[in-house]
Amino acid sequence: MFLTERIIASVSIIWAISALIYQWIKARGKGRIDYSVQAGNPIRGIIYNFTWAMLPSHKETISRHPVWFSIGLLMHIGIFIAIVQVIIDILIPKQYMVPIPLFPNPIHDVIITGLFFILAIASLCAAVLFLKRVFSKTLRYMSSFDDYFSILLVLDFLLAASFRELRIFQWGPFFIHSAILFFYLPLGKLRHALFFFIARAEYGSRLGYRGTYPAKSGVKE
Amino acid sequence: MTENEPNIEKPVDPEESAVKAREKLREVINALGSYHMHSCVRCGLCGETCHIYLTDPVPENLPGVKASKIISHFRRYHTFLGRVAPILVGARNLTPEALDELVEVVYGRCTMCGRCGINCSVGADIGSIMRMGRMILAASGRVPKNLQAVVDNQLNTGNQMAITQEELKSTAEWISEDLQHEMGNKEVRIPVDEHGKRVVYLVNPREVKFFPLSLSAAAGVFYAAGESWTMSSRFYDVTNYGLFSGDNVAAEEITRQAIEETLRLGAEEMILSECGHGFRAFRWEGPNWMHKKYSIPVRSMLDVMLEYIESGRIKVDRAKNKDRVTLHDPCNLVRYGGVSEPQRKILHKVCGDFVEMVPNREQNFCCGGGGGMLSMSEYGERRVLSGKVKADQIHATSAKIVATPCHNCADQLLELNKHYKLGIEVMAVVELVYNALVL
Ligand code: SF4
Ligand code: SF4
Repeated sequence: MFLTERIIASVSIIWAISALIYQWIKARGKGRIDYSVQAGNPIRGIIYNFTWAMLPSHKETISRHPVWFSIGLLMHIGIFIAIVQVIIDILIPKQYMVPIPLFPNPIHDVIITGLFFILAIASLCAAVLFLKRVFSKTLRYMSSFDDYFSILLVLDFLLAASFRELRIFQWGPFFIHSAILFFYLPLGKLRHALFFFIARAEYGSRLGYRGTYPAKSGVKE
Repeated sequence: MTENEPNIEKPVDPEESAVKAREKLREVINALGSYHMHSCVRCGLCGETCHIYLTDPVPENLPGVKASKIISHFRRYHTFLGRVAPILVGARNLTPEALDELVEVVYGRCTMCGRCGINCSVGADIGSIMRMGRMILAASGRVPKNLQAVVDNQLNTGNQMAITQEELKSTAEWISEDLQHEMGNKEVRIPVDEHGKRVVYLVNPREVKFFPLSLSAAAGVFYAAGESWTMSSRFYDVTNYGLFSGDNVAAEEITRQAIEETLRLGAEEMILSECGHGFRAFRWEGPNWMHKKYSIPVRSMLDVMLEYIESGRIKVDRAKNKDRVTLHDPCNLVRYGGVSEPQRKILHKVCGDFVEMVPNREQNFCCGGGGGMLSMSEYGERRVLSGKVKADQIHATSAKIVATPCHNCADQLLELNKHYKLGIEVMAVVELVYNALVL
């Protein structure tokens, strides 16, 4: 069922993963040998940078912008669910056999409704972030086509995933909308899906090595 | 030249300088990687993390915007869409004009303090991206003249103020005489060029030229601890303006001079006087500039003083420093250097009333004088304005004394004191330790 679309979606995901891995290898450069004498623990630095350092008490981009941060977070939760959804749809074709809109199992019903609401809220968040980029003078100043296009692709992907939950979309269109996102992902700013983790790990490791991380205090004292 | 207008030597061959910049860009990302260049998502949430934006909130001062000026060139030559359709991803050619524009952004609007990086929503190290920008500009011959002059002094004379060996020796002599008088002891002195001492001590030439109190205090503390130490009359400068200019070849040479001199004098250890960027340069970046491990340990005077106090080698009485003291954390010592606790432990032991600024440690705000700003007079107005954040922090503590383990920061704090009428005294930590000594 939807074999062509499924193949396109699969290829797009394989393309995105391979291109990101290639970029990761290239972005690593020659690899850094640190000749200085270690003072702290890089692993603890990495763990810290992915945990405490991301709390509002340690990160001003959150504490000073809680609303925008929450909007961004909700959007990313939606993206994560939609990605899991598209992978499940590709790997387990059997679920396609459930007749639409048949929800015989109440638990299944609740899950589907819940997912729809999360994805709908995430779509709304993506729309808000797109409008912010259009209307904020500062964001316009720093944005290129890629910034607008990327958020529109995300919005489209989230809407497609929401429609797919409601069975408004068949799986075929959902695959196609997903494929567009995955084909573009390694080309523009969406590649931060990978580089967020790598940059944060590298920085945490470096500051851990020097003994800055884990930080000895919170912001307040 | 007007305020904030870059003061650079125009390259003789602009096209050639742009070629060098592009080569340097490739070299830099090969050597250091480009993870952080890929990760900024231009969310625009980092404005308030930067003291320069806080005091002049225009888009040009937003850390993400400043970084994106450099990243746009990276994208142009090192990403697929940047190569085939640059306009779509905001990728820009690295032309002579673009380089000229970049000078004001990376030298004039950023102190490379790194505060935005640790608060970035993604985790992009903007301070390091800004230094990469400086490396590219340095390769293209666009280091601001006054900053380059300091680097040249260090390379040509061994110290940033071009103090002669004779001047250093005579200063050491009269400081020693004063100290002998003050401590009532003929043995206390500043040894110069003595072989076989355990420690070689590096200072900021500013201590020799204008503010001898901290050098004098260090001599007093060393004497009280019974330390075996000396200074070199040739290479005693703890600063390294190559870190600020972005010229790693110069930075390496400055590091090498001091390390080799310490070895020549037969010392076992190099101790760095209180200096934020000097600590970062010697302790962390130096071995990487030289591509080898040092054969001797390099430590901050803060670590050494704490060791003296904790081991009982010196006795201190906190009642001797009665006034309220607060602490300014130099960015390169604390955020990029990992030294945040020794100074606090010391101040708790030598001051009767020590209070923290908020925020502090790795979240401290730059005083505004970092990144070589103090030497670039063309950005003086912006530097003092950006220091308002620090001035407000100090004011909120009601402290009479601001201790700072950095002479560059001290210079900026003195200026902020005057400009914002803070009514404070600025001291090095070693001066407070010296005051508290029980002999
Ligand atoms: S530096 Fe970080 S916080 Fe600032 S715009 Fe870029 S991603 Fe956002
Ligand atoms: S490194 Fe410091 S001065 Fe530079 S943009 Fe970031 S916060 Fe501002």
